[in-house]
Amino acid sequence: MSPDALLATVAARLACAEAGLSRGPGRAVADERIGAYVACGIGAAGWRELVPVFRESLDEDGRLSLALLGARGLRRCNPLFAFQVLQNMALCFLSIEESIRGDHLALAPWDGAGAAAFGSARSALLARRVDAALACGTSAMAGIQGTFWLASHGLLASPGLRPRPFESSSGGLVPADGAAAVILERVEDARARGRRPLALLRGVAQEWSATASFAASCDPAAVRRVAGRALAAAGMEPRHLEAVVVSASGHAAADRSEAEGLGSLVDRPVQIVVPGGRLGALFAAGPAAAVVLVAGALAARAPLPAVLEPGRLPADFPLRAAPPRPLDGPTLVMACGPGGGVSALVLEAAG
Amino acid sequence: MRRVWVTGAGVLSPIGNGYEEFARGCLAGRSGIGPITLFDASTFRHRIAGEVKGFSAEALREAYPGVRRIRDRKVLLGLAAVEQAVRHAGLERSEVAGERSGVVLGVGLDVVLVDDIEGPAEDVEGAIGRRLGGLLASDDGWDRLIPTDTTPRWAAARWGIRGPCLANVGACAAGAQALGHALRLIREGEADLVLAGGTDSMVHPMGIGGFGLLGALSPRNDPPEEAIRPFDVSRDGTVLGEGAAVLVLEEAERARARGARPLAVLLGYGATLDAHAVTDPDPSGAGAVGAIRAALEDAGVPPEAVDYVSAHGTGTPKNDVVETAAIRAALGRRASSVPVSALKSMTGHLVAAAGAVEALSCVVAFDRRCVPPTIHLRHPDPACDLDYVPGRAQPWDGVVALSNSFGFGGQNAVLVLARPEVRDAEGRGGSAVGGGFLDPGRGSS
Repeated sequence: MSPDALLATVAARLACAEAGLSRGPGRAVADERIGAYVACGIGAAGWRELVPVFRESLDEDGRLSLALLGARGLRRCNPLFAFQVLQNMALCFLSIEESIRGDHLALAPWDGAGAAAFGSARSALLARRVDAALACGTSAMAGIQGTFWLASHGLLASPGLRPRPFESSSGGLVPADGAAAVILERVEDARARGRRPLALLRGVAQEWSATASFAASCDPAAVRRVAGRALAAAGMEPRHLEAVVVSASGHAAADRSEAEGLGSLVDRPVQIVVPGGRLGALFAAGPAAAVVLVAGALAARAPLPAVLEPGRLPADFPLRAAPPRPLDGPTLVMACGPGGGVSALVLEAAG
Repeated sequence: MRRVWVTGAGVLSPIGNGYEEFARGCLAGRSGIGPITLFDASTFRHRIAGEVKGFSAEALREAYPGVRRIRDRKVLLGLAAVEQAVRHAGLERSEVAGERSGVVLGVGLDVVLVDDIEGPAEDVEGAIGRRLGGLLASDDGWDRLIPTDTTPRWAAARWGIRGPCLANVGACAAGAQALGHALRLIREGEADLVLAGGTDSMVHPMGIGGFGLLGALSPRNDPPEEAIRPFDVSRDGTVLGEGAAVLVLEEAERARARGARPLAVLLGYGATLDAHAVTDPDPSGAGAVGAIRAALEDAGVPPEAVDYVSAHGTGTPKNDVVETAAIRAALGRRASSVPVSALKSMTGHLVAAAGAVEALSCVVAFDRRCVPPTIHLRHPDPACDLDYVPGRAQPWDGVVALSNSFGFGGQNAVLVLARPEVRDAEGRGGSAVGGGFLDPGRGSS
């Protein structure tokens, strides 16, 4: 199993158990009525698996020979190599392990896919295609391939730097491995089977910036539009927000754009939560990780981790920060990553 | 309910590029499989594939200046299919651009380009690192390192699309899933127009080599055109290929307002997971049956109204038996009288593009009133006992078609398409109907 598939499978198991929907006899929702909506990272396993293959395939001058690859290199290959690089394997393994047999989707590879997994899960529930939906994100970008990809686009922080979102000394992204998953259900269904919802997912909105550039910073106007649309879908206004979870992870221009867009919409102090400063850049897993953080805090009326202290922000920072305190109000989760996607989710206490 | 028309199509495939050539290829019953020419496969166990012929990326350069640096065939084929599809639909950029339009494409796995590897034999890992490190410092480094979403993102940028821009990675089901996802986006009001389909090229050393190790490929290299034999008792595996198909899906009223002609109606979509094994389909076929039933229910079409099935039909020993049983279980008595064909007998397995190319073959069937054949089916497996249209295309005047896609890992996706002339419950032309299906199986009204 590739690292991203393994992480997703573990996250799915934890989410199903937390929701009281572990596989087995007596499961409250039929396997066929549970859907899985998974945002996958880029193929994570390729190079290390291939080292013995290529070692066997180099000619006397040290150059890879296709003739040798075909004649003997492939014999050294893991026969299941293809399953290490097929990105849908995260979805497939977790479906097998958790016996999830319903509607599904596997998207890749960035933050926008992570948020789209939530949008698709929510739509499937509202359309009654499923009765429970696993929304999951997984990413293993800290490997050789992900690291090189980010470096090739000038997005990677220098070695030794920690992620520093919104800091003048931020030097780029620090890729991280991780997965997160939640079970979504219609509120009435969850309550009917005796569950207390952790939080309500009230609105989802997305927009893409229509740019060919992989590394483009998000457009502040798009951030404002999308956040506003998500709030409107939730029947809320910016003044209702208690907290905003930003996706800023240390890319100076992108972080600034996100803050400017939010600052143009939210004109009162809110708790500003920056999980990227602690976790690094989780890309496809980022939105799910943020939702887990928020849902947990809302359910426990607990403070969120990684809240920015108002006194530590520069005077010209576009957003006004409220001090950390237990979370019990509407919270906006942003996802603005590479690939041009801008997404927003609105969560609220279940009451 | 908002209805969804197919108003344009672009395609590159082993049996023809562009809608007209592809339509002729579908019905000609000739194989697109041949010896691999895209790399030296002479020492490989599997030396054949379904390659796209006569394709040059030159024509893309004006629209996509970056393509000169792209070596990944699936990106190039996908962008070419997008260009064809938009033109085929008669759309101007102003009609495509904006936040009410989207791009949803099934895309293949990340390519490992073996010519990126060089260095001393005693330190391969270091050589890989140094090679990649050197690339990063060079002007053309980034084109070796292409994110999965490159094709939809470039297409969105080119056409000014600001709605959903998504890469579906559902492997062999990805193309069908992208179309199904797009159907939902339009029907549920998230978009009015979506460029949807799939693109893939597995014709590279680690694609052919890696899938060969799984035991899924036919070892029959000679003659190449007879290697893949869906539903035949002598079948011994599939053959990989490459291709792309992009369909323009539009909300029907919007398309009607601009004077577009529907090629087909996309009526329904169903998806299930086997949750059985990553290597094999569930022998019970429960997931495949569930996907067919879900798609028919979504379309508001009863099983007895199905007139044609475009099968997944990979030519692997397990798939073809399970799929046959699933069609029987889902369609009941109707299964015995419905033509079922496997386009892969001509194209090979196009993986992430397969579902889209095969859905387009259903459009061809409506358009040409003829269903494609399953070629090289001479001795049907006794466990495969449907009408597989062996050898030659068959005249056909049906209304409803299913397109099956069953992916590695147990992802099942089924699309329901309908002939556009079917009239709906209100008597309006150019649409088929969910919930009010009229005159099933009787041709156009």
